[in-house]
Amino acid sequence: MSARRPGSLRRALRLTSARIALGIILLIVVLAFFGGVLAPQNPLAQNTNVVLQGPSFHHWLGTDYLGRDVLSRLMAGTGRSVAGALEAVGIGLLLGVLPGLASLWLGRTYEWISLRIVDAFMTLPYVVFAVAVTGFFGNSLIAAMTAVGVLISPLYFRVTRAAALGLTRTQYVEAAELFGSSRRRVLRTHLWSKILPTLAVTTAQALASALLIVSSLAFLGLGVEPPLPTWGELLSSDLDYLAQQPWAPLFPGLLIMLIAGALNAFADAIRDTGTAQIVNVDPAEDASSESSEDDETGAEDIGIAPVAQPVLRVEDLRVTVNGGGTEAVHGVSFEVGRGEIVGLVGESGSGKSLTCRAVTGLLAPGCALSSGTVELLGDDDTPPIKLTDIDRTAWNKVRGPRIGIVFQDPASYLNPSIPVGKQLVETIRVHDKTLSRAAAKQRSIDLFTSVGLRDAETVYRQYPHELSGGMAQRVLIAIAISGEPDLLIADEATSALDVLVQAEVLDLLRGLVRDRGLALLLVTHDLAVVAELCDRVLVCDRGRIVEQGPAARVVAAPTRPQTRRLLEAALVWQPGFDGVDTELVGAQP
Amino acid sequence: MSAVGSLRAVLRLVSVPVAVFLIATFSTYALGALGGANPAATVLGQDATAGQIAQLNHQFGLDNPFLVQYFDWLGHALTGNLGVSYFTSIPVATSIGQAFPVDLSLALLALTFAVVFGGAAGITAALRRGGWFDRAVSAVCSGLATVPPFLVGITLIVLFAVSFRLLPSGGYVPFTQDPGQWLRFALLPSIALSAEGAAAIARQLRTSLVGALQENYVLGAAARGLSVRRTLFRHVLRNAAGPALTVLGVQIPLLIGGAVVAEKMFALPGVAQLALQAGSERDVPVIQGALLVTIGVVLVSNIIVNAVLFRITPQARRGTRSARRRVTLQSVGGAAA
Repeated sequence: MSARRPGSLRRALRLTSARIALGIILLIVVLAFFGGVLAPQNPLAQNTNVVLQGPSFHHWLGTDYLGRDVLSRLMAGTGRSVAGALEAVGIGLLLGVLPGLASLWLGRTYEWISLRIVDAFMTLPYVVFAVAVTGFFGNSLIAAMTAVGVLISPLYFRVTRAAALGLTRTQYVEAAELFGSSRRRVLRTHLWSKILPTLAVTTAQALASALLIVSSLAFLGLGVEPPLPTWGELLSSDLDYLAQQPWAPLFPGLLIMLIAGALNAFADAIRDTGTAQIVNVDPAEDASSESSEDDETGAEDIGIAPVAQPVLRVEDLRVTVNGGGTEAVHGVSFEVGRGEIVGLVGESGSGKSLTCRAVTGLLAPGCALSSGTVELLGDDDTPPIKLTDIDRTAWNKVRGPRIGIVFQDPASYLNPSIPVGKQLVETIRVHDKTLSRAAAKQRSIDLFTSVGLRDAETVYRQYPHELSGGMAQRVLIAIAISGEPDLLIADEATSALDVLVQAEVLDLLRGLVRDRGLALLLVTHDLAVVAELCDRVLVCDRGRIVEQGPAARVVAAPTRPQTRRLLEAALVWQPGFDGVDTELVGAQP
Repeated sequence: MSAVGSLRAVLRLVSVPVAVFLIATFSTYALGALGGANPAATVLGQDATAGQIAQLNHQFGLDNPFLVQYFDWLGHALTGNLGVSYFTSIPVATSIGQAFPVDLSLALLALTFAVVFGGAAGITAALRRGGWFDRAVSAVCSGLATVPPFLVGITLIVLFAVSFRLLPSGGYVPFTQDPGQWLRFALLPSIALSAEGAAAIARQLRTSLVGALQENYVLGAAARGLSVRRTLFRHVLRNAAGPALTVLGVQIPLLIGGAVVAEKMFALPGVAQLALQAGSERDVPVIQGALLVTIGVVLVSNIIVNAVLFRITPQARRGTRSARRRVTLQSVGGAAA
């Protein structure tokens, strides 16, 4: 809701739907004021000769059970129906907005009590409450609509409160306070501009709701003062003659739907155009940034280097993004061998993550593998699989038992509402259906212990949010190796961890490769990690592998400018490196 | 979670409903007293002597201070005594006891329809996001938000009762008497009643599922080799169900409000008919009894919803309720009808 820029209403009106909606609303306003005057016939005039007739030239929408003209009654009834809705919404607005704001500033006791009062109102259904109030105070439109208004006030209370709550936490208010604006001034300048659009949207929606409620109540005979017509009262009398005229409720019904729909569409338009600048979350954003054009330097790909005992073989892998529009990985080939640690390095946007996603069959929507092969090579007890040929079900037998995957920000890759131990048990039992629950639990605890988690029993019962970054990464590693895969892929697995924990996790990975004979593909932007851990390194740039070789050689004597650039970025991380403000450099992703 | 933690969480779950119950019953009781509808005026008529009025007021306890009246009433209510009708002298609890099962059975059936159809539609729409089914669900949901609740009922009557003569257009047979007949009479009102809730659930479930499906843990589940079906039903739904459940909680008052309309339309002998009758006669004890039952039902359903939320999300147990509040807000905004 960007009200600081003026004209959110004008922006909304650029939408055709908003213009149509506004047109309908204006029409209803005109009808509300002049419906009785404009009506072609006297809405109260009865004519027993033309009772319950269908539409005709004389009576466009037919006649009712007393021979009154339906169109005229609809037009004449607009004013009372709309007035009722306006009254209810007005009362809701009055009772809701200020207490809602006050709940944020008058202290916790007031807040608690006012929230409970709001809760109490919310337990009361509109219709039931209106029935009660008209029972207590006598049946009138005013009484019925006051009852509805009181129950609409919680909506305003909550909406106002939420908008203001969001505001008190935004940085510009904090900044304004820091720069010496008084609290009151901050509120005056920022608060209303923030809340008013929200209130506009809420009011449009509440009016739509109130119209429906008014007609519901009129249908029940509440707030109806015959013979003056309202829409709901028309519907109510139609119901009694449904057998003779089954389509009669259609006209008032459609009219109510039309106006309620217009109000909702209008609310949507204001809201959508208001938030359009904020809601710009493109899931493929990261991927599309990788689709930058080739440049003239060092763009040719280099060939595949043979590896002893290969586990993974990737040949001429090409990945397109933006729904096939752009190629972002241009024919990447490499192998990873048993017991080997291979680093796939590159800046963000170099295509390394896309490559890794393609290898694991986890490309985001919009990204696709356009050509090339990815093959898992078997050994004595596992057959080779061409991953580029298999379907979704087959992948479920590959990820886990053949390939383990570890991610950056490990806790987010675990279900937040299930203890991590249970998630490991689930993984184990999905891949080994013969294992009992108890045996799987024992295996889980053993696995947790083997990845260096102290007190594995406690970790087993903990939720992801209760773990530190390093612990969560160990849990994810335990899950990744639980299926005893041949290949482990670590996608920036240590990037978010602080340096000490990072070293521990790298140690763990090294130990796993040594003890279990895993092949490890380490995707990272950090050449320091590569230098520390990897046997071999592949340098990725703009969707191609531009340099590869033994890690020691590449780090010591890079031949490509891209590698040198990465190396310079990595060097500043080393302790004792002078001349660079490490704090600033540390801010890079 | 420690025992103290559990106790505090349970206390938090209980203290709010109790406060809300007291506030809601007190304010509605006060309204009844403020309204000035008293048995003397409504029963005795204009010719009553001062002595007759005083005697009647004494008989109904209306000569006590207001607070005493309220706590008397509440105390009796909690023991199942809701007073007697000004007119018929039938105990209110007896009338409500007869009418309430009608609403309860109807509401449960409607709730089932809303959850089953709304849930299925929301899940399918989220999985086929942008497809024709998704668009159809969105269109139907926003359409239903603008339809007067009784129009759905009228349409059903016109179609199934008047045109095809498949089902009765009104009337009621208790479930305990003949379940088959009960279903025949309850089917149309329940469908009419469920439409709005089904739309709200479908919309909320779709929204939260679309969000949840983009979470990293969905990718994490795929990386562990879990099937799409397992990921959806064991993991994603569990996390996405919270907002939909909250919406369900918000829908319950609306369901009861809708039941009033449905009762009138389908000539059902429920609490709402009772209240409507009492309202037109200004029979305060009956209205207050009906309100009390309504408040009680809504609160009990909210407690159940919160207890389920509490079970499925560890965040709720930790007490970070901000996410839930935000959702409640949206759902209130969307479901104000």
